[in-house]
Amino acid sequence: MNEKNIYYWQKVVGDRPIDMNIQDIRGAVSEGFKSESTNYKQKLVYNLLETIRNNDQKEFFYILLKAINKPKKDYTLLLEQLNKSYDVMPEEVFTNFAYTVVIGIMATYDGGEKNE
Amino acid sequence: MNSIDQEEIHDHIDFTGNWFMDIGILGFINLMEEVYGWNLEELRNKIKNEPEKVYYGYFPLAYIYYNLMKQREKNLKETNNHELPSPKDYHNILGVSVDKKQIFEESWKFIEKNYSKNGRIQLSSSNEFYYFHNFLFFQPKWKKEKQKSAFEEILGLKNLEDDVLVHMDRTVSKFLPSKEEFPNISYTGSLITNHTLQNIVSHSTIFVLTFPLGFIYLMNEKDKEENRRTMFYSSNMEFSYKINKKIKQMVERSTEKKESIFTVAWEAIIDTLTELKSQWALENMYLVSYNLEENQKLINVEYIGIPKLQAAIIMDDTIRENLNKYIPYRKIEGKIKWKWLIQEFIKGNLLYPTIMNHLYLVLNKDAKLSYSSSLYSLLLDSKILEFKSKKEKSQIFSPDYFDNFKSLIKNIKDEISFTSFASGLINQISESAETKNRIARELLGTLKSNNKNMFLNILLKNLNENKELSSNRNFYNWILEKIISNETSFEMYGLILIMNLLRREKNE
Repeated sequence: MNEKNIYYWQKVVGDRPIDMNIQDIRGAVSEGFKSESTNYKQKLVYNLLETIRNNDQKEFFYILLKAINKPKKDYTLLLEQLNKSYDVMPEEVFTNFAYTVVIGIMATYDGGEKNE
Repeated sequence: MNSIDQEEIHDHIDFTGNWFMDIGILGFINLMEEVYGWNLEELRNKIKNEPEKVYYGYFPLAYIYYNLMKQREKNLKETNNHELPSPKDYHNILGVSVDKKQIFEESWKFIEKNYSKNGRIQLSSSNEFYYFHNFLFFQPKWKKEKQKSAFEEILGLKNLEDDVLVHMDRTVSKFLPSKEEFPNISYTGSLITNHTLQNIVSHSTIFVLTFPLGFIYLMNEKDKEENRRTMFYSSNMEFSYKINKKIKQMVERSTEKKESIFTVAWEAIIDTLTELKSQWALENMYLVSYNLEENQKLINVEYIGIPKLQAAIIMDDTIRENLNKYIPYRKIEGKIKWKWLIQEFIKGNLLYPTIMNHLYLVLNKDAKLSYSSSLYSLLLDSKILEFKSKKEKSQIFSPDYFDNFKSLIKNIKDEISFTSFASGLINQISESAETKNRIARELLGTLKSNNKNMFLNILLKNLNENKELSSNRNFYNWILEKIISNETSFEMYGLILIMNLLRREKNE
């Protein structure tokens, strides 16, 4: 990741230097969504893609949080990640983050390697 | 150093590191080859065995003969059938003496007998000798005695007295300022005198005379302004000699197809490179061109240096082979234009725009995809960008500061196999070629406007319909690594994806 963006982000978050680990995020998302139905996930992905396209961060997180707002153990990792990285991000950071989430969901579709 | 060694070095022919002298030396080699048919190796042997004969006998004979021959070629119709005797055909012109004065006397006898007319050696400053217009013995008024004396001065048989020869300035070399223009010591003329030069490079005055013969004449019928004499220069004599020879052959062969000298030179260099692996020479190359107007004004002088980075990379056989290709990249008024990748690369340009245009042509079915060359080009671009951004960050005392280009080449090669596999998976996105073309077109549009967000959006939207590919770990990890988290060169990898979409197995 570009240092400039990390720095910007750091400033917003506070005193801790935070690096966005794309693989961790992807892994946590996959872990969370692994037992949902593929059809449901495909629709969810379409909706999310639409919000990223418009750089609508509010809507993106609204949809994402609504989707994981379930009393399921699976989402613990993802919630941790979100807790760590959720913020109002500069556009490039947000798109990188958001597409990582989308790929994380898509990685769990039936027909491929489901388990990490 | 004993005197014998000194003598040997004195007569050894090699480049000096001064390009002006070196071109003269090359011109000298060319002249001897033209007249006597000796190649570099033979000439070296001759100089080793009988240096006096070469410099004081064979040289003046060849120089004058060559000048007269050139005039004859020009006025072929006017001359009578009387054949000009070539010194090559006479074996005993120089006699047996080893004394340089004696040798010169013998050769002059031959010259007087065969090449003089009306009390004058018919030297003319036409063609390449125009460089020496009105210079010494080329002047029509000079009689043979005066001409001889000037020759003796040039050969070093007499002290240099002629002001023209003593001071090196515009009269002798068009690349130098004129006497008046030497700004620092106006009352002494040029600072560089031939006396000094002769101490450093023996026979330097000879090489002053052969300077224009180091060049190759490039004629352009359409644009007379573009007519010029060009030569390839590197500090390695053998390398320069071979390449200029090849350029000459190529120029002669392709009379109708007038390519830029840059292209021709590079084709010769690439050819020679496989024979002589001289990276050092490759890093220190120039194309020197000049064109003289009526009043002997220098019109065009060009120096083309090749960056170290590019030189190191094209030393690699696989990479060079893949770049050494012409690919179609544009269609203008129904005509396909081609671009030589290696030329773009050497100029230090990114290959990305060319490949993008190439892909547009492929998409519109105007050209066939050059998969391997495009892949190499794009990865080369991306790795160089990464390399440069890494270099910017690294400090002088950091361990990777002296990271040389070898690791870069290894990086590129590793990336080739990894990326061609992972990105090739995108072909599974659909069975239909039409769909793939549609996706490719949409993606190309986003890259054209450098819109990473839209690129990923369109890619993932289309990917979303294909469950199997979506969940292919190799594929999504590649996208995460090469496109999403890549800030320096995601475009190149994006283009590689598009290229794979356009790749049809049967066309390969």
